[in-house]
Amino acid sequence: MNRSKGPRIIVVVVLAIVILAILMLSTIPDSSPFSILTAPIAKVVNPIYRGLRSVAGSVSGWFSSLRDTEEIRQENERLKLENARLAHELSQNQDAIQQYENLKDALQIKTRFDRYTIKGGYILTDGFTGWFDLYRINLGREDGINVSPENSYAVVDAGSFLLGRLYSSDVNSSKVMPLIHEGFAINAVVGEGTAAINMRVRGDVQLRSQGLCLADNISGQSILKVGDIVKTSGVGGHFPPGLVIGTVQELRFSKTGAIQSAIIKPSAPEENRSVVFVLIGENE
Amino acid sequence: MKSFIARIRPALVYILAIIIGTSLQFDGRFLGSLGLQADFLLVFPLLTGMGYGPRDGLIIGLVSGFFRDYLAGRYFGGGMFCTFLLGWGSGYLPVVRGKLRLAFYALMVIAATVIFQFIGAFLVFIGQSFQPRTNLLWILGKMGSNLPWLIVKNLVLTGILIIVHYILPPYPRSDRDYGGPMIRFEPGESNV
Repeated sequence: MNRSKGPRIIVVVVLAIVILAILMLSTIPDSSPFSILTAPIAKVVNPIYRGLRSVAGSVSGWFSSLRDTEEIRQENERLKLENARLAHELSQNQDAIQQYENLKDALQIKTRFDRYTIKGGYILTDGFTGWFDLYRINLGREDGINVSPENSYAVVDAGSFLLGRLYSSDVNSSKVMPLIHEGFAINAVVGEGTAAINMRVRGDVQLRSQGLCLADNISGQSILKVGDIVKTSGVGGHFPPGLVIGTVQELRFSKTGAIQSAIIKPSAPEENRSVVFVLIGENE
Repeated sequence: MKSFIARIRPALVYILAIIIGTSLQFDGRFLGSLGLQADFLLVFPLLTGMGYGPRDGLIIGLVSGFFRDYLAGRYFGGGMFCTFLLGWGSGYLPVVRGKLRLAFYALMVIAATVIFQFIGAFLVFIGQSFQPRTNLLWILGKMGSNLPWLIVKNLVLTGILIIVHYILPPYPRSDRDYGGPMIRFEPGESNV
C-alpha cells in the first residue's frame, strides 16, 4: 500500500476553523443556508438510501421467510424451495398490505385532525448511537414542509401516537427529533376541562436508553396517577391537541411529598417502524 | 478511457463503500434490529488514513463526518470535525508490515472507539437543554457499559473491511515501499 503525502498544515488548520464555524452556525435555529447547501447532495443520496433500505428490507424479509419454513424444509427438499419462494412473495405482499393498512389508518387520523394535512413518508435512515441521533424521512420542502423556529410539525405513527417533531428540512428530506430525545419538549395534558393537569413532557438523558421520557412542571399534582394517558395540549399552535404521547408509568415525589415529575412511557411502539405521518397545519 | 477509469477508481471505491456502509450503519431494521450496527463512519476513515496516508484519511474523514451529521446529527460539523482529524492523524501513524499488522489495526480501532465514546459522553453532557443536568460520570458509566460490545462490533467490521479491501482496493496494488516511518515484524527484517 502506498500512502499519500500529507496536506500542508495550514490546509488542515483552515479546514478545522471552517468546520468549527459551521458547527457554531448550525447551533443557531433556522440556519437555512445548510439545508440549501446540502440540497444537491440530498437530491442524489436520499433516493439511493431509500433504494438500499428497500433492498435491505427485502433481504431480511427473505431470510425470515426461510427461517419460518424450516419445518417444511426438513420434510421435503423440493417443497422447501417452493415454500421459500412462496414465502418470499407472501412477505412482499404482506408488506404491501401493511402499507395499505397504515394509509387507511392515516385517513382515520385525518377525520380527527381535519385542520391538518397528513403527509405519509418513509424513514430513510435511523439513528445509530441512541444518544443524540435523529432519524431522516423522505419528506421535505418539495412536500410543503419548511421547518423553522416558527414552524414545527408533529410526526405520528399510523395509530396517531406522537413519535416526535421535525427538527430540520431540506429539499426532499427532513430530520425527526424523537419524543425521547434529550432536546425534545412539548406542552401536554392529562384529563379534560377543569380536571385537566398541565405539564411539560421532555426527553431525558437517563431515561432515553429505556425508551422513556419525563414529565415535569406538573399542575394539579394531587390527582395525577400511574396509568393516566398523556396527550398534547395544543398550546403553541404547532401540534394539534389530543395526540397521544404515552401513559404515566411512575411518579417521582419531592421530600415534601408533592409530585415532582413523572416518567412517561411513549405509546408509539418502537419496533418495525418504517412509515410515519407528518401533520401540516392549514396556515402553513 | 482506461486511464480515466484508473484516475476515478479511488473515488468510486470510496463512494461505494461510504454509501453501503452508512446505509447499513443507519438502518435500524436490518442490522439494527439485531443490535449488530458497528460504527462504520469511525472505522473507515481510520483504516483509510492508516492504509493510504493523511491526504486520503482527511478527505474520507471529512466525507464520513458529513454523512454522520447529515443523516443523524443534531448539529452540523461535530462529526465532520472529529472524523476529519481522525482520518488525517491516522495517516501519520507508522506503517506496520508483517504478522502484527492486524493487531496494530485492532489496537488503533479499540483506541479510536474508546476516545470517541468519551467525546460522545462529553458532548451529551454539555448539550443538555434542561435542568437539572445529568452527571458526566453517569453518562460515562452508561456509555462505558456499551463500550465492550461496540469494540467487538468495530473489530468485526475492521476484519470485513480488510477482506473487502483485499478484493477491491481503491488503488492498484504496487510493490513500491513507503518512505515514511515503518515498523516491520517480518523475520529477518530490522524492527524499525
